[in-house]
Amino acid sequence: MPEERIWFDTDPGIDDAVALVLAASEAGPAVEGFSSVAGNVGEAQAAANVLRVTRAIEEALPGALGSPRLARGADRPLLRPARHATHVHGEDGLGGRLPPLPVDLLPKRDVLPAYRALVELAPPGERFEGTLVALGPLTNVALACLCDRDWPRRVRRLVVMGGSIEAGGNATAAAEFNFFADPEAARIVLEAGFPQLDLVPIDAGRRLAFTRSQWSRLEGIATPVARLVRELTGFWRDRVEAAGMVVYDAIAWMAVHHADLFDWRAYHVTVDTAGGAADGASVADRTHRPRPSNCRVAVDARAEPFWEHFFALLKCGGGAGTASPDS
Amino acid sequence: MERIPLVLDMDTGIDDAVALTYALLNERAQVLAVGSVHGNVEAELAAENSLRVLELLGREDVPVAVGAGQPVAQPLATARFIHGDDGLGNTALPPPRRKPSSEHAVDQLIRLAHERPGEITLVATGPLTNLGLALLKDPELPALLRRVVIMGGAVGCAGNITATAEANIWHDPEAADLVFRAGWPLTMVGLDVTMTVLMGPAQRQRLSRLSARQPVAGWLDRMLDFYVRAYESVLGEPVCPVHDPLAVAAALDEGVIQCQEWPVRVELRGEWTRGMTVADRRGLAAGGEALASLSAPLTRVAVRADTARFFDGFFAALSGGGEDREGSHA
Repeated sequence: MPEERIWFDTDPGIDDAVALVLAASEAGPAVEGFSSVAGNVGEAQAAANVLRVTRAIEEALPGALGSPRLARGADRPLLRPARHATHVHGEDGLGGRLPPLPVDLLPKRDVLPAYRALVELAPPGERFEGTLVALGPLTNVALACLCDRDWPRRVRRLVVMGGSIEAGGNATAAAEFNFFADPEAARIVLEAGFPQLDLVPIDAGRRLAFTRSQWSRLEGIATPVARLVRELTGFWRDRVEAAGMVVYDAIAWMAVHHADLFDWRAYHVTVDTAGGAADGASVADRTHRPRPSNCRVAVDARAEPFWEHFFALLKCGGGAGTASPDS
Repeated sequence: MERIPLVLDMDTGIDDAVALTYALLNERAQVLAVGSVHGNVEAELAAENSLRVLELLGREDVPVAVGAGQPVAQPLATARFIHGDDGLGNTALPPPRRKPSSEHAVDQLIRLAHERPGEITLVATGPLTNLGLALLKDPELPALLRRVVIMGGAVGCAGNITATAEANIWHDPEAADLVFRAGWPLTMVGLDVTMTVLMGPAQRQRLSRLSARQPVAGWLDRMLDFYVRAYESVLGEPVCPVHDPLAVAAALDEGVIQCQEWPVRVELRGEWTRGMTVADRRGLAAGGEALASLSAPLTRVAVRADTARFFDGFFAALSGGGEDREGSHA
């Protein structure tokens, strides 16, 4: 697999953490950096969690990640009060499963603001020939769009975990959490003119619940990365046993290199920011005469090959970037 | 067989007319009265069209009352491009001999509900303005009806008038929200199921075969011809959904649809989502991790329809009770 530049904008989050572990297993040195954003947890906790996870990855896969940068981002949404999801991810966002970060290891907020780091991935006259993977509310990405209106056109590919087309919401009845948390930002990003925006909504995870059967498979893999994923998802053990959990951000990561695992539809998608019951809902134009599409949407996924790839990455995680399903 | 007393509220329209015909010919149904509402056509024309259908079937005993002529909070909009200038696919039925009754459709509904408490099933196949007004006028109404079945809304699928909204709800979102909040035994038959029950050439052939002994079938077929042509441009094949008849069927035979119980509200403010039916499908009872719950009573939302069972019932009613066996497996 050709090595391409990867940047994560993220609010870890257990499923963000799993996504980062998969990314380290698959594309380690290509991961150039991270920007933190308020979402599942506050921004400072999100920044700390990026480092907690990368340190754990370094232990499991020494040297795999190279030395990615961390740019600190928005500590609240553009217009809305901050809403977190600690009821899903635990007070510290990682279910208390990784050691806390020594306070002095956290970079200061003003060293490299996230929106600036994002714009500098593709400064005027240059292109970002890589993939920007946004796993949290889109506040940082929207700020970068606002900061330089041509920047989106210089970003080869943006993959976003967010929204829901037909599956209903998870934060509210109608809205998915990342879009609910900063609907204005989501709308700005969707309408910003990214040449390739791949949206991975709740719909993509409908067949991909992490259930007892995945748990058993995970327990059968002895590698340090598999142990790390087990540790992280352990916080969800009871829910996995009950109905299964969906590791949305890990699913979005899988879409980066394994787009063929998903069914894609080109839609014009926007976000309702003026709504009542449907506030923050993503609206895909599926009318008879739709507006020109602004993204392609992963509306469904093939579960069996998905899990083959997922576990293959954990089996040979260690920089073998060409994990194949039958390895 | 004990007949189910029905009050129908309709913006008659082609599929409303099919639904009314089906209800009148269905041996399980006893149609007590019909109200009219704006929607596919104006409320006055909707009442006239219901009277035309009733005369065609010799049912001049059934009263028809004119109801709300416009939505609560937005201008009137009709849909002649789907239903024809006369609302009945330009089939040129003669003007009705009868006039609508002097009572308003809202008052007719309230009166009948009080006369037969706990007995009546209300089937609404148009915008929900009359139902909303009746709820405002008579707070006792929810406790007096046996069931309320509406054709409207879309939960796990796209809308048909905007990207998110189904037409009946979109035509009066404020009234619809009152209906979803009323706490009566409400069943929603929306696009999730009505777009799966399509009338195509096979069913049209059954209709034209029937027309020899049931002249009304021939008229239905001519009317549906207009409707199919309107839908063909959207669906790409000569078929049409039978939205309103499916709601009547669900009122008479619960086995025609499968439902899930969810709280439902109607979006009123959204720029892109006004008129969207928002159902809370998160299974809060099981997991309970909501940041914001949707405050509304449970609605039975139809999520699956039994197409064969619907058409068997439909053609059985049209052929006068006897199963149209030959046709049912065509």
